[in-house]
Amino acid sequence: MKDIKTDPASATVTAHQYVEISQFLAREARLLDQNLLWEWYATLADDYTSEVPVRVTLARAEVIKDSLAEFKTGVHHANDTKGSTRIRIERLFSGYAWTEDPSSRTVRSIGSIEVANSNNENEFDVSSALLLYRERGLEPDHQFISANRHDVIRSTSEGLRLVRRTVYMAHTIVNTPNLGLFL
Amino acid sequence: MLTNVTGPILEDPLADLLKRCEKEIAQGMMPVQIFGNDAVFEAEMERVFARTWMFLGHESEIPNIGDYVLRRIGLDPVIVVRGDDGKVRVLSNYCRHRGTELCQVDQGNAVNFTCPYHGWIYKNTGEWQSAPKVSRAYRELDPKEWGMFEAPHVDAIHGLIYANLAADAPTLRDFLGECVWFLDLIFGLHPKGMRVVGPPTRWRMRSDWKSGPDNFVGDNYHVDTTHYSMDVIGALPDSKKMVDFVYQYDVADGFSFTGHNFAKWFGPSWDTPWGYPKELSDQFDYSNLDEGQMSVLEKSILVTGNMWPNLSFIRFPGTPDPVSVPPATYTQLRQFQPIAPGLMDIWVWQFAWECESPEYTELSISAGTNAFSSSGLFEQDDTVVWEGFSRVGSSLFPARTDDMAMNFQLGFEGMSDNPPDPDWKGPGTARMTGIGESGHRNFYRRWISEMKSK
Repeated sequence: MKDIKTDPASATVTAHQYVEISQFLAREARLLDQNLLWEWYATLADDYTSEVPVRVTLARAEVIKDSLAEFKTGVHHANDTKGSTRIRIERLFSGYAWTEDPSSRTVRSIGSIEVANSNNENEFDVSSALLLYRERGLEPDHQFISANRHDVIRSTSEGLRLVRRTVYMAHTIVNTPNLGLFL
Repeated sequence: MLTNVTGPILEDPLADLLKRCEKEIAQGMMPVQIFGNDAVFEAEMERVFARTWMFLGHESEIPNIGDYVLRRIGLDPVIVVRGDDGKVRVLSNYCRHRGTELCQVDQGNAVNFTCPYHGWIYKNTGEWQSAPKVSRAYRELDPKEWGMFEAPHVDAIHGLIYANLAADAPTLRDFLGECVWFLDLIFGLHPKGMRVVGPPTRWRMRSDWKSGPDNFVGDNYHVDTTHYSMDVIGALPDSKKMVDFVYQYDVADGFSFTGHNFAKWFGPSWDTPWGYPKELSDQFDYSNLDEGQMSVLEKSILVTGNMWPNLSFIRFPGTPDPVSVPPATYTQLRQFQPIAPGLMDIWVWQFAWECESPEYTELSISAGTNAFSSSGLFEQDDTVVWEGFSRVGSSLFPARTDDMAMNFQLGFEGMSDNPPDPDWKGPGTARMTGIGESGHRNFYRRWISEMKSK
């Protein structure tokens, strides 16, 4: 698991690159909020993977030694490839995905965007914060799902593509009835 | 606490409701008011959670001296710790001085537990050890009286750690009774057994804790409705046929399992137990299994179950992507933790056989996460359909007529095609289709019995 870059080599990233990547993330959030899931799927690289690791609360001393200590390996809340993501979206369009029928009403706020050149040519390490407001169905009660995301975004001849996403949630006990949505 | 402090007669405020429950379960029904009800919830903490053998985790989670994890008994946080003497204890997390929580993390390793308030120190065996300025502060304090509260009974079976807070509890094996026969089939097929992979995953659902057992106990009837999307995307072949490839096993009240015949449902290539790869299933040892257990393995192998009160099991094959990832079979234990009426946390432990390859472990964990987790393709739809239980419990309609009951009549008396197996060689009863709710009735009978006895 790569560390979240808190001090990216931002000097090597141009303002244009930062704008492009910020627009990419904002557009992605809009597509997902609007349920334009196949349009969002088209922004994924063929070698796309994503994971939502499980977080536990540990003593501060352990987190000081390793900033990612609380994010355990071996199990996940979600762990996907492009292929399994396709199946998730197919399920949501099956007409029988009760979880999201009616759909959740979401607002994704993306902020705290940092962009750095990665070791791979044409790829960027991108860190962003997600605050996802979620309401569903008849009830007015809502949840805020909050996470730091570390992404690898690739510049291709067809535009930017999301290669890898790791979602570092603030939650140990996930505070929403299901993760039937994309973070 | 349901204690009266005035008045000579300590009438149980739930007496009428429980009488209704007894009358109705005999007709295959239960009043809706057992859900979403503050008085019922409070009573459940005392009459169910404080008196039962409660699952807390697995020995593989605390392998070393000093290892501990923070778990729950009802609403109580408890430290499950392997003390310096090697013994596993279950200790209340509250300092004996003022109740400050000694442990505010999910897991760790400790020689002592020290309170951040006044500095009382306990050994990791729970014994009171010392306090600041102890020779001036506590000249006459008897350490034996001020150790961390400890569960009087702690035991394990197949590495599964249980504790019971009741002073006069039956042994764990007596409590589990014939359920042990089924646990041997799930966990006992290899001498090295299974281990837990990673910490338990947890998430919070808007449902009564009983809605989980109500499903995993043997709700075979919901699969091709709730989970029909899985058929549509080709992840489940023809779920409408499932009820005829399913057995329902009900042992002493509160313990039930389902079994599936994978060869009949998925095809003859599914000829190893649970579809495990031969390099794994060839390592299994069946020498201790009896005729009934072998028949389960051959004809209707265990897939789901619930163990009183709130520990469910699932073992099933799956793949996140049938196009490029081969199926693997996952094993989970899941516990439905009560938080409030209409609110529960699900804790899911994923298991791997010690003797399996790391590659297979990765595949099976990934399959389990993909199917049953907060993002699980099966699980997601369950989270939605379970929300009504506790809401209907406080609805105005049943309060008017006192008549509103949930229907558990599937397979009850002559209602359905749900015949018992006359040749069943195992404990309890086995029904030969999934068109039944005998497991549900089994669970609620146990609930009534525990709630009635004070």
